[in-house]
Amino acid sequence: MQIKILSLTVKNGGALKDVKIDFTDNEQSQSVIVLGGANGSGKTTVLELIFALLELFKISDIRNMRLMQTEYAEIELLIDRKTTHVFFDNPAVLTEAISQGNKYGIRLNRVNNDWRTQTSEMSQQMYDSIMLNEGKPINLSSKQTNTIPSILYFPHHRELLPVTGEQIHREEIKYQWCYRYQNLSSFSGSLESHLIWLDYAEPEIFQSVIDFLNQLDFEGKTFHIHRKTLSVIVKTRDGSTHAFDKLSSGEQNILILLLELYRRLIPGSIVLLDEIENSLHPAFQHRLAQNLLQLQRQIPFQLILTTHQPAFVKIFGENGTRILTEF
Amino acid sequence: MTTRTISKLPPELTNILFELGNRQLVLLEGKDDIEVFEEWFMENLSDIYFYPADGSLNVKTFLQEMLKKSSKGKIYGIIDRDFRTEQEVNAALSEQSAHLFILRRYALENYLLEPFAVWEELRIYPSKSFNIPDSSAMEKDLLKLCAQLKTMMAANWVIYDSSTRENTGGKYFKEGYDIKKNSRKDIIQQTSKRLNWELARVEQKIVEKEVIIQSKLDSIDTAYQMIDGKHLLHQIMYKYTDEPKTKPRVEHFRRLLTRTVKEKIGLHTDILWIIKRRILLEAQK
Repeated sequence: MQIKILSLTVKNGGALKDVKIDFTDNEQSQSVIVLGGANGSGKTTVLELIFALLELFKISDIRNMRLMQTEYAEIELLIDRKTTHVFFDNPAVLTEAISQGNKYGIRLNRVNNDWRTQTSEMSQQMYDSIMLNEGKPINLSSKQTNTIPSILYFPHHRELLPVTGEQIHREEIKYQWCYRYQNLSSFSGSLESHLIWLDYAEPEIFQSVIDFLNQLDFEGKTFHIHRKTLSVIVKTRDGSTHAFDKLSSGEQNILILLLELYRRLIPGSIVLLDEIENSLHPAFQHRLAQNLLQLQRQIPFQLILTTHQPAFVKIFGENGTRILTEF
Repeated sequence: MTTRTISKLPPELTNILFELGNRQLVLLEGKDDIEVFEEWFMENLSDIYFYPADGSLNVKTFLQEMLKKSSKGKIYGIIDRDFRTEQEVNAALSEQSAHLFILRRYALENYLLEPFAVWEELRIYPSKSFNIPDSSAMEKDLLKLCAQLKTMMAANWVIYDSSTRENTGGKYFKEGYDIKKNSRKDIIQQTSKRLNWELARVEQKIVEKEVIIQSKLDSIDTAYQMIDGKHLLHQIMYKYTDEPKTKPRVEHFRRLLTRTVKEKIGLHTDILWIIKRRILLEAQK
């Protein structure tokens, strides 16, 4: 399955008062969208809303904070060449529920003050597919055959936290329809814990991950597991070593993004990336962008990112850039 | 309230708006101008974004195109005076809703060539022959240089006037033109060739312009409305410095003048009025 976003419509959602963001070029979906604009123009809100609206396919939590602060949001999607819509309607005033045609979504009926769900044929299919896969292990070597993609969201705060022996636990990658990277020591998606677990339980996969990391070329740095202390150590070009979480913030940013994508990305997915340039020197900005484009050639996915760095407009192209600031 | 659609824009506009954010956009003629304005208004760069539009014609057309697309309308253009009349300059400056401003002096360089700034920089610049005692003597010398450029500026003016009927691109006498090697007669002959006009007709037209220019050469303020600062900058380099007159040298000297004007003299009221009163004040409304 392949899923792509065609447009997002928002009414009274943070800085986005009444806008429709068109993600197409000549009516064709685009593989990279760069969101630019002044601080406070709503770039992060766009990513949060996309994530929250797509989460609705699972109907897991209609009280999503971002959606609750929005009056109306609707996303237009292309799922396997079929156009479908997902909406969230939280009308500010008491109104009669209006049928949204063949759209899927949730609306607050202020007459009874209850949430009404409107389903569609597509939403039912999506729900069934998600439920069939959710929580099942993703096999790194066979994930390309998975039937349903994921929504992977990387908020702007991305760093590695130190891991101790007690925090190492079984780190199987399980399918999640909507996955959000988190910066918590209790987060089961910890990369260091994952690497240590792989070294212990899945030596073949561990080697492929290490090979992937080493070919990223972090100025000659290589990654190793120290079994006695259950930690990942980084060897530098001059032979000295340091802890995994002592990588620079820019190196951590690149490592988290690429390793997370390497282990979770299923063809046809959507990747949402807030502030791609986090702590990155221009040379590393180019390195990350080139790695993402290379990954996209191997595993097709739609990338939607926010940035303040003009370099990314140059690299990914003006055609896919959308400026949120009104001028 | 109508829904605002955010979609793909032309590449140049995308790049401008990406950098612009919530700032006021000011279109200038070239990259040299950007360097000067960014230095002069460094403390206002959070409110203002200067963009080079590549020539005065592009400033005008780009400004019109962008104003049509803009909902806020906070877009402006600043162009050199060139040979525009006092009426044209005043019309643009006094119009309350104006978005295009014309400098009162011939070019932006004329605001760099304040006698004190030129004297101050030449005083410490590598030179064997610089012996001007103070800035008032410098002012007299600069007026002499203006007078030497009179015929060439008159010829350019004649070429400019012919531009309504003909394409004059490439016909102008460019900065760096050697006014010592080429006499008044040479300039008239070359203009005649460039315009393909009879010599007598060209001479008569040039004389008419020379008379007007001469009448303005009593003070720096009026002389600088007539004499192109770009030419004058090159002539200053030829006359007073020993260094080779390469482009990087001229640009370096230009940068020194930019800083000295800001730090030791203060910006000319023409410039302050356009940026502070007409553009930045407008942003607060």
